[in-house]
Amino acid sequence: MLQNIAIGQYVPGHSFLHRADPRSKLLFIILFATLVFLANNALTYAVLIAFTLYAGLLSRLSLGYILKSLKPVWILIVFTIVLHIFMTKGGTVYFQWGWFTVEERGVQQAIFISFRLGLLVIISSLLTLTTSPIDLTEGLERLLGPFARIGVPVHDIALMMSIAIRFIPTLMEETDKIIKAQTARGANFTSGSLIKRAQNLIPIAIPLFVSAFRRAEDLALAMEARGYRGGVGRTRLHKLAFSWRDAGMAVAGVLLAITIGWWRA
Amino acid sequence: MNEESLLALQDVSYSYDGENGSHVLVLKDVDLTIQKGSFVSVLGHNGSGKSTMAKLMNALLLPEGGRVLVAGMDTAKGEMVWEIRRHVGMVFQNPDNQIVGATVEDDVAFGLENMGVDPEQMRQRIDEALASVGMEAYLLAQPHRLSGGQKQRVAIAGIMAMRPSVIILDEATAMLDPQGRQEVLQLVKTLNRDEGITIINITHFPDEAIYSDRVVVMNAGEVLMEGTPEEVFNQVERLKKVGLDVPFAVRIRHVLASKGIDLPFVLHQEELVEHVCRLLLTR
Amino acid sequence: MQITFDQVSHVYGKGTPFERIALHDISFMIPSGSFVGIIGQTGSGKSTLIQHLNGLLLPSAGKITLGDTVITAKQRLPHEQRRDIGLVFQYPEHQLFEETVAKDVAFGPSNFELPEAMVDARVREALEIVGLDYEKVKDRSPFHMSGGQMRRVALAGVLAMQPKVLVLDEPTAGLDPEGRNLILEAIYRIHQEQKLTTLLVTHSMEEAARYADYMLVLAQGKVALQGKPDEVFMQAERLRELAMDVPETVAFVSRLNQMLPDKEGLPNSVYREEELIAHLLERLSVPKEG
Repeated sequence: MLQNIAIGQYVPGHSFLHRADPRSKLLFIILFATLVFLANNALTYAVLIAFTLYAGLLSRLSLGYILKSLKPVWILIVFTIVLHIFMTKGGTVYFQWGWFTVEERGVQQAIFISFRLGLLVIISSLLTLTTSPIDLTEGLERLLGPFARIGVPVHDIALMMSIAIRFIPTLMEETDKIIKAQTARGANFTSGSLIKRAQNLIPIAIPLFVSAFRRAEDLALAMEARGYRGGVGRTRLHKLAFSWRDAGMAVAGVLLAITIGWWRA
Repeated sequence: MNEESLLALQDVSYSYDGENGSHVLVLKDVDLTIQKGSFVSVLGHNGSGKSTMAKLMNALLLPEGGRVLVAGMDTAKGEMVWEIRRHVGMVFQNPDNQIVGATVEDDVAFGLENMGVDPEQMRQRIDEALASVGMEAYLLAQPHRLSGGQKQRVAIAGIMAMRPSVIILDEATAMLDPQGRQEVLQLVKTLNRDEGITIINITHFPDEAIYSDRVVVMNAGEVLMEGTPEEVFNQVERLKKVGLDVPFAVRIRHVLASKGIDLPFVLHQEELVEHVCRLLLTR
Repeated sequence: MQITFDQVSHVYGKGTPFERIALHDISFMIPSGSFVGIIGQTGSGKSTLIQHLNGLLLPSAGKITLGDTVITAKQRLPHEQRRDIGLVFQYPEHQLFEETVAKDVAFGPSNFELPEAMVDARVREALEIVGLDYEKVKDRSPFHMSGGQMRRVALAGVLAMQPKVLVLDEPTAGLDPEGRNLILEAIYRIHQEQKLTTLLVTHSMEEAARYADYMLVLAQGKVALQGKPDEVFMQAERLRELAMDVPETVAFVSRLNQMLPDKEGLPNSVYREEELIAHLLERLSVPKEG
């Protein structure tokens, strides 16, 4: 059933990570991504892996659940490993068969790059797992706030994102219903050539567009009726406030940066 | 305009562009006054102009001819439009398409955020508004998990938080199941009685109009009838002619009376039972 | 077409945290040609039940028999047989997608690879049944019609498949009284003319009372009551327990009978408005003797 798909993958909770300010989480991820790209030896990678495991503990989610986030990218990781093992040359030759060799640098790179990818995916999943989509938009809006001065419509973008979040489940249900209705009229979505199958999407796509436009029109009217007039003079219910957690994250970030900078080759 | 009237339409007309460039007149010289604190039902079938009238009442549309006054403010005078919209809240037909927030509390906050209410105060007003519609337990619920009736109650809470004087229900019960309809009607009756909110219920269910103070019947862009429920529903034939039904008791009594049975006019089923019973026992 | 449900259950999301039993051990038999009213509150399992009728959902347990075809958890409904069961969903106008009314109505029959001439004839016929003038509407865009008209076009789209069973989920939702009457009358007319087996899912006891000759009352995924309308309505107490209203006619009769001496009461089986009026006229116009 379509409606059972979780939106984003937010798991509500009250852990350290859940309660930290979305802005500091976003900033931290930018820093972490930079550090991942700076890491270039076993020591620095070990530090990053240890840190990520600790962050996982702080989220109070089960490790298995967090590692599940690697599922969509595992093919990419395997592909990277294979590519490096076969293509990157240098150092001791571990294995040779005709022109084909596996060499030290290749194995090393394969391990580093796959960890790099894995760490990035896991740390950003920790963000989406512990931050509700609303908080995430809120955080983005505040972080991007300064760009409003140079004409970026930050408020509108944030509103669009939050309305999209609000309507995803509604439109999923709608899609489910339309597919069923057309199936009942004899439409067949699972057989036929590729072109035929693409054509078969028309009876679903058009009603869905029509409905999305109708909803948008209704919603615009409802928003106007409730006094909406753009971002000017608007206040917000949610006040983001930095706490000791965010200070803690800042300290951790600085320490991590210094360590990586010191120990990298 | 006397002091008691909250909303007044004076000679209002409105038209929109139809297919192939035609001009369709949806409201013709409508004159209507809504008293403060009253419960008014507006009946009419689709295309009678009743929804257009609602949109004129909170400046979503502006009249082409005539004036619309909300608490003395002319809707055509641009500077008052936000104040007018705060005064006149609207609940629309489709419960899904009027909820903006990703959670109940966010949605109730929406109007307050637009008004620029201080966040500290907002919290309190949201709690009060949700309590007034009995949805305080759903503060953090996601709208798509709620029933139709609950969604409409959240929409009403969003309006109540803005401290309105009028709530207009624009066919707000049309898409609900009987339970949801009851929930919403019961709620607006309570808000009318206890909080003194003026209610304008636009509907095509005649039985929703039984309990209102005034009934307005719209047809082809004009006010066809206006009066107490008794005065309006007494004219069964006239209502039928414009495709409108009457409540059950009125209908039964009308048929019986037309066959020469001596029954007085009734609105409610209970009254009809009493009269029929008396007749059966005394005949 | 005779429809039998034999201990049918349906579970959504089996084995996931979202597992939910939507239908629980449902059994009933609908003879060919019946007009069945299916009543129940939102979430009672009505929508799940009707999706079993044309194989959109398969039962988790139990057996469904449609005419000679058997559907079980492992035995699907063959594609060609889907057209025997016309399913009209809630707000069916939301599924319209073609540029013209005629093309949209033709979508169903074309999917079953009928010859073109036959499809055209069926489109014409279906539009006339729902009270739309074929010549006038065939080239119009369905999106430029009124809500009530769009709904009738959608209904025609199902009728054009010439189903033997017609299943309608809340066909009158959101319409004004005139639109409601037009669509219900069209449904009743086809039901009689084409000897269909019709299942009408509704919240409205009045609608069920007006047309149904058999009723199924669902509550929490189970059949709470079933039988002829008068049999069901006579159990007013049980209906109230299920938080469902009886039609106003039934409420009226039971109120009246409470106030009258036993032998003076109206028959409890009265539930149609015309019937009620006829009884009242008969009792009130004859002067009391002795």
